[in-house]
Amino acid sequence: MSKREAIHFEGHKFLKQRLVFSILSQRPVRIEKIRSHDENPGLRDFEVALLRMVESVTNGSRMVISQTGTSVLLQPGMITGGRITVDCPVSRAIGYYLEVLVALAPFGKEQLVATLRGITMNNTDLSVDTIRTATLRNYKHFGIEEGVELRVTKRGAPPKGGGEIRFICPVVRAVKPINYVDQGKIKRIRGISYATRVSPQTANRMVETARGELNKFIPDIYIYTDVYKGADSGFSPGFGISLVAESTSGALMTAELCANPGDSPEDIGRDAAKMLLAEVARGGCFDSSHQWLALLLMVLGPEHASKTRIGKLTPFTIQYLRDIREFFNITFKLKADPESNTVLATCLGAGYTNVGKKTS
Amino acid sequence: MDAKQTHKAHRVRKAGASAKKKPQNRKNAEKNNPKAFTMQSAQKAERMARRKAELDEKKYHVPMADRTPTTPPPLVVAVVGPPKCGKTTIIKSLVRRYTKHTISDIRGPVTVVSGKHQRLTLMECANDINAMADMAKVADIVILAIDASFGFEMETFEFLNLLQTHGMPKVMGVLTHLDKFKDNKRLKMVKNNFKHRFWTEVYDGAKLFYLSGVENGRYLDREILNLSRFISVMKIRPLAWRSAHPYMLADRVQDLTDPEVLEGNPKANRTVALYGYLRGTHIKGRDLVHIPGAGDYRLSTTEQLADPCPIPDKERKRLDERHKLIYAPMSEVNGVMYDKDAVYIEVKKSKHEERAEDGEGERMLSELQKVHTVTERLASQQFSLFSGTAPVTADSVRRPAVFDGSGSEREDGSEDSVLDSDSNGSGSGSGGAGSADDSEESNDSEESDSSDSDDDIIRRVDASDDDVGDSGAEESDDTLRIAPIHGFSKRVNLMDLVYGSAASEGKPDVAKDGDDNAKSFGRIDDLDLGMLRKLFITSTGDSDEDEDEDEDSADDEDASANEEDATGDFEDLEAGSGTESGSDGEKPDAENMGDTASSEGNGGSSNDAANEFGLPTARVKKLKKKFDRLYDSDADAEEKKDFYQQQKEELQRYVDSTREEMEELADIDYRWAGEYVKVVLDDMPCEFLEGFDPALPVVVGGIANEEGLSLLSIRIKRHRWYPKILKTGDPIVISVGWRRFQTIPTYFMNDRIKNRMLKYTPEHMHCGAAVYGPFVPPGTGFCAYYLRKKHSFGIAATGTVLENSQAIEVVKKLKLTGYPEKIHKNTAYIKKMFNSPLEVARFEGAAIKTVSGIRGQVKKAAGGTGMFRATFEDKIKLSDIVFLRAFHAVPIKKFYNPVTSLLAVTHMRTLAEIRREKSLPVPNKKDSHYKPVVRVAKRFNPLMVPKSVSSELPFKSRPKVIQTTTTKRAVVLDRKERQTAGLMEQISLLHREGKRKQQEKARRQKAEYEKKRQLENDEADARRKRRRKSFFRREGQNQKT
Repeated sequence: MSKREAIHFEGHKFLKQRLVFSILSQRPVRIEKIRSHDENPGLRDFEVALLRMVESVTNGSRMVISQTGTSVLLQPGMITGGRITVDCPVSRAIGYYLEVLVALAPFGKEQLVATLRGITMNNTDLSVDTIRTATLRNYKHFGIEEGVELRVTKRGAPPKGGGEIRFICPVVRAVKPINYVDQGKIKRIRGISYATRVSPQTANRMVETARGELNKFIPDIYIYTDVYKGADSGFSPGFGISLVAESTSGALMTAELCANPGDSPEDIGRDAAKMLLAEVARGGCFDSSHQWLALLLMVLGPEHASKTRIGKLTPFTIQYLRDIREFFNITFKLKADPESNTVLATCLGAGYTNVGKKTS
Repeated sequence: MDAKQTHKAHRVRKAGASAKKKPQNRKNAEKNNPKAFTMQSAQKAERMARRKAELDEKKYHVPMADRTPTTPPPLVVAVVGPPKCGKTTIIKSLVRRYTKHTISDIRGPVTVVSGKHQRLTLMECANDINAMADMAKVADIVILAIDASFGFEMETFEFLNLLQTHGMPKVMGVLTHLDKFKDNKRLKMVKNNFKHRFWTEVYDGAKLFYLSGVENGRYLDREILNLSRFISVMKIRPLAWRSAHPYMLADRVQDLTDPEVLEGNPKANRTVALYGYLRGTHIKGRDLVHIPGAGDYRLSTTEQLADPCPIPDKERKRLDERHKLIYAPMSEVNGVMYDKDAVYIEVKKSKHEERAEDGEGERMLSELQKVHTVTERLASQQFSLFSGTAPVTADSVRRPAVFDGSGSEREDGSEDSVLDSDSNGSGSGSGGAGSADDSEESNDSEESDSSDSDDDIIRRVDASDDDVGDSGAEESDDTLRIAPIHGFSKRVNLMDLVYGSAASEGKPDVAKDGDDNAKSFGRIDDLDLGMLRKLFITSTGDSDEDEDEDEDSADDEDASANEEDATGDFEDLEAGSGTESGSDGEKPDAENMGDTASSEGNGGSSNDAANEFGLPTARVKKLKKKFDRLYDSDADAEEKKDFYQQQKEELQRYVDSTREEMEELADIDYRWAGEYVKVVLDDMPCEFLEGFDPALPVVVGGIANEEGLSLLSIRIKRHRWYPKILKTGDPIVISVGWRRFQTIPTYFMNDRIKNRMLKYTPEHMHCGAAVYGPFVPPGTGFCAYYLRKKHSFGIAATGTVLENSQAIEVVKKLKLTGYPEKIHKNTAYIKKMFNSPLEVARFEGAAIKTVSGIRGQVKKAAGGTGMFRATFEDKIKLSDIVFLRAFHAVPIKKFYNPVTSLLAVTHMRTLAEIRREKSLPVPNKKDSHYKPVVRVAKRFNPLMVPKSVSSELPFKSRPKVIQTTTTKRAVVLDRKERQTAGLMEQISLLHREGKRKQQEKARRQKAEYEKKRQLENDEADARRKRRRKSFFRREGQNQKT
């Protein structure tokens, strides 16, 4: 008889996705040798905060962190949702934590209302603006539409943070399978350029150069400037820009960049625009930052086939696919499309239904 | 046309029978034909329309994806009924009807080809509630056999209840033993009674068959033919659970354990192969399955095998004799059984011995067998091997004839020959084994050449060892993998990159540069601007419309050589939607048209051919296409469809796209529904094979995310035929999804605020229950029963799963009582409720109450003994009892025990059962006794007002002792006084009588008057009404004009 044996992993990398998979697939996971050869071994503060957050959105989860912090055992419980507040350590941006919630929240028992405090944008994690304008809009391909909301109440730039967001996500019984291979053509570009505790003109300067770069391709560009003042602007000065290109078939390509100390707004705007163009050039119906979401929701669909087109596989996505196979026993059929340099990914859904949701 | 049409008038008969006929009495005409009278009244018509709409609405089901594969798996026909009612005879008769075979001993499922497009798997259901539950989960058609001479038996109803909770398949009743009725009239009555009882249970009009007698050990051919016809036309609706889960009814079980292991430890866990048709959805190696009665397992491998009972591939008018196949591996129909790489031929020993001198070949074969059975070890393995799988009779020995692994094509050929051999025997028999099995077929006349497979006779040779099995398939697989690399030498195979063997070794290469964030920072400075431009809508390149991409590209290929002005008119029409940037390449010309036309295969003839519009044909075609797209688009049609239609179509789209992708996914090794599949399970307990009984169904059910354990909140109702109510804490078996598990329920009733525990289920109501078990999708129905059947009816309860949750709060009432120690005005000190100040602290502010209903509140602990101060809304008495009403959470017992009925059954007993078995007395608590309540009538002392008070009161309120003379002393009348008193009495009597009459009269007069008033009022009302009516009619007419 099969026992619910834990799946073993080593190393600190990909912790986030393994936690998500473990909870969704209800399979225990044991992660060992977390930075065991590091000067400062064990879990970092943001990883511990992530584990705590996962524990708080679930019921019945059991987490065992070894004394040295170099190994973690997670016995997954059920996703409950509800109201949670997370104070995110400033070593990572809110996006790091929010991505986990984005993956888990639709499969909870009740609507999730999460308040997260910390850094709203940095250069390692997705910014809250991109999550709002692209990630959450990607939900709609899978039938999660009404009631998704993300509000940035305060912005917080690194290093001190002080931002706050509110994320509301409804629950679904099951997601829909997709057959989404038409990547379409880029029809418009939108974006948000924000600045906190610096001259309000900064935002406009970023917009200027970004537009200059993108106007060569398309006239339909609108980049909002979003300047936060006073208490809403966090503890540190900072600015950045998040761009989203939308195609005729609804594909969203994103790029974002925020300033390091000493950067000029013009450079940020131009570089972000270039990154967006690079992203567009990669093609696919989901950009490289959102491949994971598309793949995850395809796996969690009903037993029908889902098919989509993504750009070149990133190393992250490759490991993501391997982990999916480990947890859900689902293998994607990946076929390169030499014409557009994209990859067609097909899979059969796991027939996942949200068992936590009540019958009405 | 415009003149009024005249009809010939009806001529009434003036003579003959019709004229004499009396006009019919049409008194009940409306009753008999209500539809004819519908339109006579608007109200009635409206009512009928409403009724029809309601009936139509009832027909709607929640749309469900119909995943039936193109070659559907055989329908599972379960033959169910109490013992000795003729189940086996029905199967035998049906098998005979379909295949002309007679099976003497039916074991396990029997698959037959029943028609050009249909196969059936017939299976008899054992009379065990566990087997019945499993059967109910997989049966597509149920034949309920009922012994008419005996009457309905509880098994029938139990099974119907199991069916209802697990998704109702088609049910057909069969009455047997009708030949026992000698009296025709009685027979008719019995049939009628049975029919109506059956209808109430299934649905009105459910088919009930009558089998009126047995001939040659079978039912009458004519009746069985009818039955088979009804089976063949049955329409199967997809059931929710089954269309979302893969499942397989195993028709063959094989032990694949390494004999070496078994030698060391005969109780070692076995590797078992289960064979059967896959139904429902798809399955894959390493998937999790549940085998009801054996538990959860992870599949080790899955393989597709050649269909042993295929539907004829070519379209035929009627089923050919040689296509009427039968496949019953456990029953051993022809003595032939085939695996992918081996064929097992049953050789009847007794037959051999009888006809030992028949043929040399036969003798040689048995010689050969003997030689090999001499090697003790191997022989013993073989027997243990088969005794476990299919407990064959002692006198039969199976012998595998193994193909030699020389060539794959030969293999395939020989396999085919095996498939066909039982009917035509013309299979080429290229290999030695092929001919061997042919010869076996032709009643073992000559066994010439099976010598090449000496070693393999005894042991079943694994596919992996001998590398024969799917060598063909592997080859093709290899070429597939190689092909793209050859084709596009620079490209890497993505599947290999991600999942290939390199992936498992080369994990670090990803881990090196891949971090925990999905965010990418791809910044390419030297972007190919030309390429990039094409990705924007503003690009002048190929249009964004897919369908006429070729034409468009043809358009802007060559624009210079245009001279026709006529075509110029259509320019903007074309450029229309997508390209506003005024491209230069938008002027098509005839030459271009010619190009496109030729590329489409029309040839160059259309080049100058002009149609009625004076335009080139290709051009017209294109315009027409455009027009169609603009005006006849599906968008309109989509809008017209109602929500229900849309949902249905959406589901169908999913199914279709899945079907399209099946080939794409071929190399991921999915096994699809409809295929004959072998699944291999590691680590099966040895009891599975040792106690294997082919009569019990072995179901392999795939489970998706129903793996974890949680508390289930269920809605449950005791079955109305179950003679007892159910008790909280008595372990009960719940059959839900694929699973059957024993668990301890806690019953409760929700009072909209909290779940209050119930010690027993209500008698005729639903109640909630909390149990511990695996995840079940909410809304799934279940059936509950006790393992020890004590009562005539087995099903204890039915219900639905409402919620999976990690915490369900069920509470029970807790009343704490205390007694006043000291009472001030509204404050009292209460003792004996708590034992320590700490306990009091927990309840500070809690509401308390006296028996008489005076409410109060716990204030604060007073003293160290648990006494506390409390305030009340009024002064309480020292004799009052104060109580605190609290609720105490009941812990739900986390007990989950899958009923392993196919292995050794271990189950939890109820407390009563344990006591009975150990003959322990029921604990007798004195406090729990119900004693008759003796209430002494309360005697109240008379009210005493102190003198000091009463003297102060006004005279009116002062308590008085009134002492009258009449109460004081007796009166004695003398004669005169008596006469006076008598007279007075008579006078007063007369007076009373007069008064009574007067009142009577007055009442009568009043009634008459009222009546008169009423009449007048009515008249006045009617008058008023008439007036109003005429007024409003006038008014209305005025308004109209």
